Amino acid sequence: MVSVVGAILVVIVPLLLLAIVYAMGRVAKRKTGREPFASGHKFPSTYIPYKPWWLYYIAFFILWDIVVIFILFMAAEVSIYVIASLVILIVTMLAYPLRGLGGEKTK
Amino acid sequence: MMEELIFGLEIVVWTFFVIFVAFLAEWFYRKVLAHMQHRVGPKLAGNLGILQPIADFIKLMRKHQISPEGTDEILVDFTAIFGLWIMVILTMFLPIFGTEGIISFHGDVVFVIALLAVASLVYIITPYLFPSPYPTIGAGRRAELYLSYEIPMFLALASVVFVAGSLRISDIIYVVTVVKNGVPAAILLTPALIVALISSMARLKKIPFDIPEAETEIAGGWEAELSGRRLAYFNLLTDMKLFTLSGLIVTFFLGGPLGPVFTVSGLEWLLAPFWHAFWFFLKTIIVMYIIIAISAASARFRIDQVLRIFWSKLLSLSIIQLIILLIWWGL
Repeated sequence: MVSVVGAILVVIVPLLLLAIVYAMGRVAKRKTGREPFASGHKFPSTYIPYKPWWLYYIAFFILWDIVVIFILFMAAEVSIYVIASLVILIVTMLAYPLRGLGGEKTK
Repeated sequence: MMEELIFGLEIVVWTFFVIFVAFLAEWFYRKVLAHMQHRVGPKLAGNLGILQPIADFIKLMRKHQISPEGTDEILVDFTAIFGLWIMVILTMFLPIFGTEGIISFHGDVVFVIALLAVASLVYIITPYLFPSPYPTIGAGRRAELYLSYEIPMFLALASVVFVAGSLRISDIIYVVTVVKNGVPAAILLTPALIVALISSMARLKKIPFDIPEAETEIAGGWEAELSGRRLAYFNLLTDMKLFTLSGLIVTFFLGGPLGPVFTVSGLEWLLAPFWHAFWFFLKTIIVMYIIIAISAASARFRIDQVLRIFWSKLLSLSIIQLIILLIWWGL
């Protein structure tokens, strides 16, 4: 099934079904304001006060990963323009200024 | 119009079918693990406790969902549904009832590998949505784990694609039948199979690669703040991932649904899919058993040990695998 309608069905139907089942679950009765819920410690909830600068690298790695997969596997079969676009994308990602390096405090 | 309607119904049935299979996979996991640890395991709900995962799912769905103040509630709900949705889509590529999955097109291998990469993001992003240090530490560990296993696994799957000479899963299942220069490809691809198996264990966060949750260290890590329906969905996601990754290993390395098909004339339409599914599930159960057996017999690695294993040993093994294939191909 490669038709457009088929592709839309593949995307929409499971998403709808899973959302409906999820909506049937019970929602929050109250917010605890305590963390962590699992261990029962009595601390106020807080974010770790450092920027997760490694998230940039993870996001970059995943994008890089997917783009390289596409280039390696499809180089022989798709248009040179597609490959060139992907290469430009990689270079652009490399050139993106790294922000938040060093994990400086948010406040 | 009628064709699209039937296809839509097929997807509805498929979605519930793979959810049911995921529950069975969890039951199998818990039962085998219990057996290896000299426990009974699930036994109350249904025969041999086979309905226990369903009972647990319903129980969690009915429990109150509690989260710390400051949690990004909408995004957590979204990632719970999104992660499971990706897994359902991935299962549609598995050739279970025939040599093709529900979705099959040229280049679907690339799509599957890319979806696997995106699925990992769910585990990294979700914990960071909670204002609690334990999930954040778990997310960091998960991210390091992801950086470790992704490239070896990708190279292992690329080896299979190289031998198959095709980017279509329905062609790749025939890799096991390839014999070149007197050597079966199935034997030559053994290192890639080992790499894929170990990488899958890391992707599943099974012991010895369960550092992102490590209950005794970080109180469950990435899932410490999940409760109620969110925990139900993430548990189901993990179960479905166990089945999907085992199925992908079977598809790439063990011939997928290929096996002897015994039919009688007039009933081919029924018996052929039955035998395909039989061989696929049999192989998948064997792969799952190996994963569980290794889990049961191992202790948790430290993060530096995991990095060393993947970046030095498994990456080297997957590169050696590619070199072996290049030499073999060139002969």
